[in-house]
Amino acid sequence: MEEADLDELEWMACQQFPPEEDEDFYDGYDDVPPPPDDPPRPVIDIGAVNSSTDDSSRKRLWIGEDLASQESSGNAGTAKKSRGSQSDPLVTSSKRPLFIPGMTSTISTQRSVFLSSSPAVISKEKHVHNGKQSSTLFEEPLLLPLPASVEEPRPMSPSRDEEEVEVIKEVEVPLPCKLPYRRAADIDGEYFSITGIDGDRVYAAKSEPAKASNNASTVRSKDLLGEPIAKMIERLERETFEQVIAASDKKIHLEGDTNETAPSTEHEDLWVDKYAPRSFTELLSDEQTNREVLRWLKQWDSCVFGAKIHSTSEEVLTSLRRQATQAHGNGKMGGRGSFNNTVNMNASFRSDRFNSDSAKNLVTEEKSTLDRPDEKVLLLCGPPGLGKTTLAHVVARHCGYRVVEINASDDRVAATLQAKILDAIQMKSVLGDNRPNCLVIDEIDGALSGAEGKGAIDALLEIINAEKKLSLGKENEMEEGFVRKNSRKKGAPVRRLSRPVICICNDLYAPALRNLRQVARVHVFVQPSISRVVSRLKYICGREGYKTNARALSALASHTECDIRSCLNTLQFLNRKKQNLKTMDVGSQVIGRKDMTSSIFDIWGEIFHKRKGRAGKGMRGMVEIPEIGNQDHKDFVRRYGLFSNHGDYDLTMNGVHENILHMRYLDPSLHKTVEALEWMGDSEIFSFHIMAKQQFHLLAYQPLPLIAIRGLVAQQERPDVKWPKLHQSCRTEQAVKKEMLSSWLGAMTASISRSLSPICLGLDMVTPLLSIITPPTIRPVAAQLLTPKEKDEVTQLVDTMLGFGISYRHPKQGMLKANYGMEGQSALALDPPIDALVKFKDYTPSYHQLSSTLCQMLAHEVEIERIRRDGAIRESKMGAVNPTPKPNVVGGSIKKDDGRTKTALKSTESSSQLSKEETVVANKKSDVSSSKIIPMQQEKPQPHRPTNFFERFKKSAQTGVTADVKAKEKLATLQRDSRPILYRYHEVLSLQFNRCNEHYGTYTRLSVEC
Amino acid sequence: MLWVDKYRPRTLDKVMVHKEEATNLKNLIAQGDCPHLLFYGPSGAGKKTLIMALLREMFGPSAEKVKVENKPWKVEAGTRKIEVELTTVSSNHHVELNPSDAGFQDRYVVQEIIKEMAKNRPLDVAGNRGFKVLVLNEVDKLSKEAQHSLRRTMEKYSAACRLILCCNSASKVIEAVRSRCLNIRINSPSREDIVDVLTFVAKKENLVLPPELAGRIAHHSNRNLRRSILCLEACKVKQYPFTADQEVQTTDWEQFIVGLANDIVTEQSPKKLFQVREKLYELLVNCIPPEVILKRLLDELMKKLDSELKHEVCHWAAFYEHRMQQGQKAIFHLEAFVAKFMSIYKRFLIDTFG
Repeated sequence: MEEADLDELEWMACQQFPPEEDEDFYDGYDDVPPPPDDPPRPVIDIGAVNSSTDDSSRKRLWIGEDLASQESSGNAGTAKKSRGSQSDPLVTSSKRPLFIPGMTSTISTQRSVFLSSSPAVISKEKHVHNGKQSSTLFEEPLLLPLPASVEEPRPMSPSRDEEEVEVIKEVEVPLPCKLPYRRAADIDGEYFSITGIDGDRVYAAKSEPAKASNNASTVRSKDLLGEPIAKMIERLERETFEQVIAASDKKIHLEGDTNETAPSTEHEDLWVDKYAPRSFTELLSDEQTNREVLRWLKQWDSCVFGAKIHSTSEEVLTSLRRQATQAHGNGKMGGRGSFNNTVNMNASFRSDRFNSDSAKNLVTEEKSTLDRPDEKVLLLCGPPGLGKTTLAHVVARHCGYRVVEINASDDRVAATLQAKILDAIQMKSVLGDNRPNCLVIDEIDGALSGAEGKGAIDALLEIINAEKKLSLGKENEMEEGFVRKNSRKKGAPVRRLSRPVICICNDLYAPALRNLRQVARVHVFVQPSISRVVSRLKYICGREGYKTNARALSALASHTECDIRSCLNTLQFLNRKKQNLKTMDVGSQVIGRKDMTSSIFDIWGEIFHKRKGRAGKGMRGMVEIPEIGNQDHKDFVRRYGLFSNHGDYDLTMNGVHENILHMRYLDPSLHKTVEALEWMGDSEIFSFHIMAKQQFHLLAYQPLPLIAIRGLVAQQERPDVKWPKLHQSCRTEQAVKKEMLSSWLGAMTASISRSLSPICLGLDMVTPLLSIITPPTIRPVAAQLLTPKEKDEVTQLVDTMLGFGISYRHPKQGMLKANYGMEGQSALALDPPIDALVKFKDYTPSYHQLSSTLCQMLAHEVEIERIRRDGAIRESKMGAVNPTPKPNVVGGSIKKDDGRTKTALKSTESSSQLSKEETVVANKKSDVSSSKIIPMQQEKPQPHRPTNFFERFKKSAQTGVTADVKAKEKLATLQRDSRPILYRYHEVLSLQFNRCNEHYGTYTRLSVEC
Repeated sequence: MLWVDKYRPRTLDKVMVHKEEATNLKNLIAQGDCPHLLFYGPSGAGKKTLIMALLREMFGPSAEKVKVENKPWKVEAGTRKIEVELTTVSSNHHVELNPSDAGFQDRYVVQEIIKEMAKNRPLDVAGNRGFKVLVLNEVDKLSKEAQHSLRRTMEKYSAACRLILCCNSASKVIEAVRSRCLNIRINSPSREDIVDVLTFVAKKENLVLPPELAGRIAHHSNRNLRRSILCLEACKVKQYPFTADQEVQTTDWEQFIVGLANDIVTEQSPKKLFQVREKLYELLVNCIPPEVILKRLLDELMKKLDSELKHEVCHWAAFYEHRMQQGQKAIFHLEAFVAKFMSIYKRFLIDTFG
């Protein structure tokens, strides 16, 4: 029972001397209940252990040879359970009370748990216990935690009660105890007086064992603390944590009391707002950025405030004028001076001077070019919580602007935004605040993505850009969107964006911002240093009376990546809960981690780059975790989060794949490479199955291969990661070629294509086919010069080419060249471009390259043959209608012996039996040009004849046919039919043929091998 | 016309290499009916030739009058309409198509075309309602869904249409479909068979073909009949009259792989691996299937290997090919194989030569 009381006392003591105090000392107290605002009692230094935080070592001293094994379990439930029942074996065995006759105490580490309980509660409770007290020397139990060293066990006081004896016996720990004396004279040495609740006064000797413990501590301090202090704090917190867990199991009425005194739910401002920086100097963000922003804003001064300064501070101006005159020599440069006073001075000087000047136009012109920054828009970007918005507001206020903010919560379609911008830069608040506006468009990237967001940014850009246009055409009338200059009294309206606009975004590279980025001045925010954040946090905590320590704060700051907003919110939350910020909590659920998405290059950087000593980043230095392996675990979790937050595993893996071979990791036998590639393969197979089976929950395992690869290849060297292009470009190319193959297959004759598939076409066919259609034996001479055997070969070749749908074409069919002389210069290429299928880098295909003349010839032959076959098909169709073909019907059927056409043609010509006029323009260009001419010049002959290859071999050039009326009709239809085709072909059956140059002169006629 | 097509046997009687299969097929359709058939075997073995000859045997010469059509399919799948365009080769009696061209919508195509064929059944000679034949190529590339949708339609409409399936690997055709078909494996012709065919072709073309050359062509063509005939023709174009030691042309991509294998053996380093990767990409771009690349590459590497490494390398080649089949990005696995080979080879070199 008494122990329980003493526990309470101890809590009491703790209440008065919270653990943050340097000297942990348990003072007895005598007046109950003590007023809550009782000043802390004078600390009686027993000199136990002078380190405040070295709790465990002190405990060991006090407890004596307390079993180490008991320490952990014992601490958990000691005090509270002892209150519940004395016979509880756990409690009795683990209790380590300090006995003073008539009073007991337990050294408990529960302090912080009960910090929230107010003294009033404790005192009330104590009275209850007091009633149960059996026999004590004093009515009020007194606590004298007098530490005793292990070496000096003290004899028990004879006057303790039965229960205590029992307890002591069980524990078998001789505990230091001291008898308070009624008279001070009984004590030799130093003593102090204690007054009980009923006014009894006793005296207690001050402790002797201080020396011994001091010795012990000096022994300890020789190796400068066995474990780092952070570890101890950590463990202490851990223990406390465990105790809380244990305590929460048992419902103790203390808790109910705590609730009674729960903090009042009065309204409280968010700390974030309460302690937002009000002045420029309070800003936490990077000094450099702050200054630059300020400077930029100051450059607007002459534009916005130019006249004002003149009117208000006349004497300042006069004092400045002298300097200004000096600066006048380089006045134009000074106009953009980097310091605000320079700007102001120049502006005011100029306005002053020109006010009396008649050349007002000059003023405005000069001003428009001088007194504003080059970039009319400022774009601040950086991760959330670094103070971008605050900076904008503070700086704007600092420079005397009224901030007009448009943020993501506002309606931001293009029209609205434009109206708002115009409002902000044109209007002025009528009521009270007559400061000029400064427009702050917050979160410009977030809500502004998508089509309408794009419109909104375009609206902004329009306002910015239109000015540029206007400055080119100065005479233009004033337009909406461009405001009259502030100093309207000068009478010269100036059209321009006359108010500063600050845009704020998180992601600088958001697609919507692409255009804005080019015209704006961009400032990228960097994380402020942790120490700055911590000092600020500390200041705020001090102001709020929230107890915390710097270590926990820095852990918090580094955990939130210096997001001060998140830090403050966390602290305020904890404060309301009356909880302490503990280092241990920082990594846990209590403090939410920001869901940060990193850019893909960060991900790749994380994979390939091993940062030198992560401690520099803060994690290791700040958060010391007892287990050695825990840092790895932490890293793992962090990386897992990083990779999974990004989410695009496919892209990530492609990037890894493409860059991994350029990384310089030590791998002489390529084992690492093999392993990394296997991980990639695993990941790839895995993702394929996830997609195919739609088992998306399995995506949770996708970061693991990345982490594994990182473990293999990460280097301290800064990697040069490139965007993966190879894979994508190969896929595109492959798709193109596949498409080409299948379309080629479609172009083939059915009897050939049906036995082929695109794949085997590429695998088996292309190479031999290319060899076959490019025979080295054919001479590039006119067809009529070939030997019969060669002719036969050519015929076969043409047949093959036609069967496979191959011909020679000019690579770019759309490009026409007007001059006919150029025709031979662009080489003919295979169509479809099957030679691309055997094209490899640093490899010459095995097929024979045909000369361009031969290509032309072949192309020509193929074309003739195709037209002939088309004609044959048409003929067979007509023949089906007309079973007896008349001689004047277009004759294709007669020419069944294809390949022999030319000889047939010859005989036709000589015998005049059958005339066949092939009007083919062999060359494409001349041909196309002529086909262009065709529609209008059918009646009107033109004597021009393009020169081409085949004309060189022409012998009997001018062969014409005088067609009869029927033939002419036929010709007309044929012409019409063949118009879409580049080649024109007339097959006219006529008994007599005539040289009808006036009709055919337009075209190059070719009588092949007559 | 190429010799490949020119001397393709048109009827089952004239078949030269798979005589036994041809006789069996002939007997099979003697009654004018046949079960569903599944032809499988490597490319260039003569599957298509047999199928065409079979069709001719079934329907007479009119089966050879084929036309190519680009047929748009409009399929109503539930609420949405799907439009697929496919190239079909069809005669009065049969339709050939490549359903895998329709990509992931192949399922609808497969169902729809069979139903459509069942709708207009032709009359046979005796005036009975006959059946049409649907030739599906590359069944192994059909999605599993399409194959499953095939199994019911196969049974349901078996009276109206017969299916002839053709694929390279039967293992990629689901069991259910396989069990509904008569499976016919068409082996690659033996080297002697190829030599016979080549001699036959040469004789028809009035060429003098030295048997050594024929043997070498057969050897180089990897028991691929199509390729060997093409190769013969290419040789003829290059140089005639033939000589026994004439250079036999291998395909360009194979030549390229030979170079690739040389690269791999000469240097084993990440830098080299990167060059190899570029070359592998080039091969893939030129529509060479990755498994063919791997196989060919293994063949080439084997030639340069010490015998004690061969087993291990083969093992890994099989390992990575298996992984390649499971995944999608072939380059990862090809490269992993090359890296593995490099690693093994380098270790071997260090062990042997220090």
